[in-house]
Amino acid sequence: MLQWGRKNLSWLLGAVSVLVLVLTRAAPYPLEARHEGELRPLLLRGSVASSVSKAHLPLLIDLYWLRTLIGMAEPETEQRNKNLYAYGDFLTDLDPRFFHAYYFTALVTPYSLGGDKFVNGDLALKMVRKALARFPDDQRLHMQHAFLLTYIEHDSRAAVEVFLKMAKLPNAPAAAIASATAIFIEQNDFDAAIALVSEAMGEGGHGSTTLLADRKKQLEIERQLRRLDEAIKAAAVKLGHTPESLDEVIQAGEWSADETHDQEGGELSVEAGRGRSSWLVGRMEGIRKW
Amino acid sequence: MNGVVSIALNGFREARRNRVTSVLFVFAFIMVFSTTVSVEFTVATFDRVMTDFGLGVIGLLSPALTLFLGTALIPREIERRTIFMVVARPVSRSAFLVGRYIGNVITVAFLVLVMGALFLLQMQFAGATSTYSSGIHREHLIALYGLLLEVVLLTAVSFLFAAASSQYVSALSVTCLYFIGHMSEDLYTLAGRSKSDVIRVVGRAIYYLLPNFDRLDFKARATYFDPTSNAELLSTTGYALAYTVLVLIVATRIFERRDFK
Repeated sequence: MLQWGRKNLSWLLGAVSVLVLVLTRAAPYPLEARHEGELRPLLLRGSVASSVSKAHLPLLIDLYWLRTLIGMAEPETEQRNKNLYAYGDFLTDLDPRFFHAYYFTALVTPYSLGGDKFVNGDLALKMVRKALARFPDDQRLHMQHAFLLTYIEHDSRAAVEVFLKMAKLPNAPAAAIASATAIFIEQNDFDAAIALVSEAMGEGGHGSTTLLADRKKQLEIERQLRRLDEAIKAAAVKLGHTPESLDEVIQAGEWSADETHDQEGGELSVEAGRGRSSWLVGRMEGIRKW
Repeated sequence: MNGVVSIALNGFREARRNRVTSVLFVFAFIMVFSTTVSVEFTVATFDRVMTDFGLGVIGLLSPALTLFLGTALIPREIERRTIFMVVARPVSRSAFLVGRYIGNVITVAFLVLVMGALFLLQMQFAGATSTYSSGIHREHLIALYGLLLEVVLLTAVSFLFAAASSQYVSALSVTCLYFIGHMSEDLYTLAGRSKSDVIRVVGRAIYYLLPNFDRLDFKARATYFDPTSNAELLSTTGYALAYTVLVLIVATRIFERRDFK
């Protein structure tokens, strides 16, 4: 019996081990449960990674950069965008001069919930502000900052401040300044919009001063048309119906008979209850109506 | 002198015949070629990715081969007793060690030069065919030169440890020294922030005594085409060569006294 036991001890131990392995088997613990919805990518701290892998840091940075780009191609979810922010933050900690890492991750971080509701906007703003601390004169970042403030933070005033700062930069793009005036239009502040364009034209070096000059004319005519809109509304109250022509507004005493043309010679008229100019192709709308 | 040259050339021939070297050569070429593939995944950063991947792969494989050849050669000769055949001839132990060292440096430098030429060809080709790449820059050449200096110094350090200890001990020590050598500037800065005088002195000692491999690393500068002055290049070359000579002197002294039995 003892001899049999000695002879087969290894078999016995092996069988017991297999039995224990089978009994203690377990499925992998779900990753989602482990992090309670906080699925952050596993990343080292920037300072640790840069010290430990200093000999091969550029290669490591680029491998993470490619991983980030591949992540950008994955289906968009709130969590994916949050992860991309984490990658961008990590990359820019490792290499604070990596402009594209700031720029692209700030672009893809906000997640639209429909309409003008966004999540992760705070993260995108954080990334843009981190980038601006490093590249204070970059126009693309200023544009991005202003649009995040407008769309996500709904803080048009702060966005205007950004555009005003941007207009003072050397070689500020004319198209960007022209677009920025949309925020002023939103607030019905045409004086500020015209002042911004005039300032930008005065700075010079904007590539296309013709574009800015055209924008200024458009703003001045739009200001006139907004006045006409108010006059049409006032005339509608007096007449009991919406006036269908400029003559009706003049006859109601709400518009001067001398002001039938705008400053560029375009003929003023009334169309669907709103003022029109033959010089201005369409009415200028606020940024949310684009 | 002729003995040293013969041993060096023989070492180069032996290393060339080594299977691991051959496999590493093939792997290196595949990796450098894969740089082109990696560019396909990127947007707007073609120059950067090509530079980092190309130089990064060379910078990863050349120390690997240096470590493998540098730490294995002498212990293997002792283990196989082939060293007695050489020692029995009218060649000093110092000449043997220096000859083997030169042979190793030629082998790895050859790999670096061939991979470097391939990398530069890729940069030139990308520069000529794409608007996203600006071709070869002086900084690329400087980074490759830095990698060559690293090979020269790391091989010497490998020989120092191989002359004094076994293959595994020297491989482990040199690997640690390689990483510490790249971190020595950080250690110096960290130690400088300490309130303890002892830690500050130790940090400074580590920085000045251990080989500063980070000083020879110009890869990160090539990423942004940061210029390197000729004076800095000359000073770095002087540092690497002087350190190498010192390490080889110590290695030969140890090797001359070593008992091979």
